[in-house]
Amino acid sequence: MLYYSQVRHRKVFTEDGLYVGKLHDVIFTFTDLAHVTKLYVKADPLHSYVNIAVEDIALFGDDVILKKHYRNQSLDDNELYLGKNVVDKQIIDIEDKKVVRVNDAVLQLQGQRKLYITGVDIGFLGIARWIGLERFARDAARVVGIQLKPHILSWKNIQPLELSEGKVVLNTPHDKLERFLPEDLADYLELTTIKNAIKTLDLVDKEFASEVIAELQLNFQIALFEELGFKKTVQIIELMDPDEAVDALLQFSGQKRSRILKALPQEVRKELQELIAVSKTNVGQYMTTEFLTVHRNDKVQAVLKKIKAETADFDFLFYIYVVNSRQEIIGVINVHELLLQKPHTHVHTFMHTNIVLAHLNTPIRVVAKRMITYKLYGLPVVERTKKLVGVVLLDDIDEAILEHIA
Amino acid sequence: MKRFKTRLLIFFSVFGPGIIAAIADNDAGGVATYSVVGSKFGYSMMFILLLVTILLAVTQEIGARLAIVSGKGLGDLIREHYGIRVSLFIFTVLFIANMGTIIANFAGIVAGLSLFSVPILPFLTIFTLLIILFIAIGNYQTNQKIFLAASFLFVAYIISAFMAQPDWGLAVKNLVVPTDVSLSPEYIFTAIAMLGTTVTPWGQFFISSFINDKKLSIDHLKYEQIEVWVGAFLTDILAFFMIVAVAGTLFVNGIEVESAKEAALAIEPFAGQFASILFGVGLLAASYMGAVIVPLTTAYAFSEFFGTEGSLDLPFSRSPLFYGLFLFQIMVAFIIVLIPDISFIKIVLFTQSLNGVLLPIIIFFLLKFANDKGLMGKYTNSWFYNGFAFISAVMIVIASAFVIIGGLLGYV
Repeated sequence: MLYYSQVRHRKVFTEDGLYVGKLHDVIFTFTDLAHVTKLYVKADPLHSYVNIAVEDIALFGDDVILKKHYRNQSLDDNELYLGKNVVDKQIIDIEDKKVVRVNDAVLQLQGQRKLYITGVDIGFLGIARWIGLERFARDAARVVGIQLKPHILSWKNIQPLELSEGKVVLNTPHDKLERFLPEDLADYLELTTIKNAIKTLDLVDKEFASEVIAELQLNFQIALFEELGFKKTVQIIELMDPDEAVDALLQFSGQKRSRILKALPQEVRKELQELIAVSKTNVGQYMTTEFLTVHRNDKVQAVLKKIKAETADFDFLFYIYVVNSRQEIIGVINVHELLLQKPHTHVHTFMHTNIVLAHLNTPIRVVAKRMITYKLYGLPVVERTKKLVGVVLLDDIDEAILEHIA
Repeated sequence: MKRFKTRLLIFFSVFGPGIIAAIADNDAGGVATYSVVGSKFGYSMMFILLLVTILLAVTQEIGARLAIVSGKGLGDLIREHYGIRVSLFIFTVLFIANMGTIIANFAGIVAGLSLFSVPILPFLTIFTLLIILFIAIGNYQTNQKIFLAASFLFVAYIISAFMAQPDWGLAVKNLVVPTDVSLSPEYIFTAIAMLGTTVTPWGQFFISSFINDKKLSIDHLKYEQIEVWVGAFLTDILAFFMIVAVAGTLFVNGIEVESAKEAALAIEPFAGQFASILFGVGLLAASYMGAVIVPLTTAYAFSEFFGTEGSLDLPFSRSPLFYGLFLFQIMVAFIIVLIPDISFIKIVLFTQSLNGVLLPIIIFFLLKFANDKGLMGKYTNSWFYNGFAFISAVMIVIASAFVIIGGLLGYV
């Protein structure tokens, strides 16, 4: 077992003995297992910082030895710094009450260079360690008859999603799960494995589970249903809001869909069948591809320039969508908010990340309902992953809305 | 009209932290300093009072804005941006310096009580128990009310100032046009002591913690900013009356005093017994405020630095360390103040020097955080404000340097 406080400031050399600098921080992925992917090294002569991938490490020992031709790499979307983003942060439980601070982190070395983060130290010894007084504190406590132990919290108890938002949040005791909004729990579940998601959903009551499932990304939803098995799928579908249920059912093959429908009580089946019949027309027909995307690190100035350059022939521009390198939607801003910002502000500082969206085969009825519920003038349409393919504008679905009201 | 009414209502719901944080700066040390200022230098330091008011308002406003926008206290921010080692250092210095301030305020309570010729030990015990009781049992709202009520007792100084029948014209004129400015070391060090008793490291911690414990949101920012300025001016208006009360009686008659108690006794022949009693009441209220707010600040800061729960709204069982630390400081001060022949002057001087070391560091943190775009978004300091704050910081640093050097040379 290694502590972050002990590896920080370790010297970094290349294989042929060239001094590179000191280890300044550790970079890890925050999905699933927290394995260390890169080292953040303060290169000494230049006072510059380099990110070195673990693949370029020859040996992680008392000194860190790098392979001869190591490269400086950029950070991926799902990577975070252990020191900057986790250590020293307050751990909060779900009601946003303070619990305790992360005093240190525990690393596990596997082989010569593979590192995992296995937990965080929230105890007093974690503080003493930083000033080299861990042993002294232990000895001193023993004199007065207290056995001091490191107070380690397993990494499994920390919510990866919240980490990316700069918070260290504990996985909650199970009775508290239902205090989540279904969409928040869905977001969180999407970052874990299907098995874990099912375990979590088993803990909450069926109705709430069905609401959560309705909020899941479609490909995740389908994978989940497959894992759940036929019987449970039917139960969930029955409990789901009919509109959402249709949205889910349309993802299955025709054969499987009719099997599920047959297993449902007659009342529900009838309603769903009617809905499926009218939903043959999907979003594609209503959607426009006139939309503007920007990246999270773009500045307001650049976005305004882009609007002038690219949207002259648009009928309508109300929202600007923020996408990542894979064109997947990660945020949205409206033009009014944009105009209020200072020119050098980054888009990600004010974009909304709770995005209401539709999938390509979401029934238009559901689309209309969502736009009314959330008072949106345009709804982004995405593929199975969150790749943005178009936008449905309020103007284009007025008929569907009228129908919905009737 | 209706909008004005709603705004006024919001203001009063926000009202509290800014005024309490500022008024608490007029603690026992403050009253003592102003007594010395008034008796030795008359009205000639009034212009410094105005300057100190602005410095107080500027620094407290940054602290308040920081707290509201980031939702975090100064301790939280230091820990999260500078790590454990820096936090341990700052907390240790703050803890020792605050301990000194608390002892000074307990000494103030003793001095105040002795003015009324009551038996010290039983009354000091009652005072101490009340301090503990209010904090331990009352929630945030109750304690805020108690603090505001104690602040109201400072009105005693206004009355004693009037009873002193001072030269009001001269007093007010000196706020803007100083007369009789001296460049003697004593004058300079006393002026710096005025700054030191008003702009304090604990004050910077207190305002951010107390605002966060009140859970103010960004919508309240404007109102809180107004309140901070109101609080700073209110505090120093009270200080103005304290100086006037002493200057109008003692200075004009050539009597110099070294403490608040001496001042209270000495003004009696000139302003009457009632004025003297009021001065004593003021001293008790001031010492009480200091004796509660300063240990509370240490407890808040501890919670923030080391991530334990700390709020007046939580019961003892939920935040034992917060309340425990508060109790510990009160008990230590209670015991030390009962030691016969202890030199409070030495404790006060030591505390001043420590605060002198700490204050520039705290101001550095304040400015650093207030300009952090990631933290403050659009609420960072404007360039104008930064310039202003920077000048304030330079003055504070110079003053602190004087205090430290003065301490080393055995001046003051």
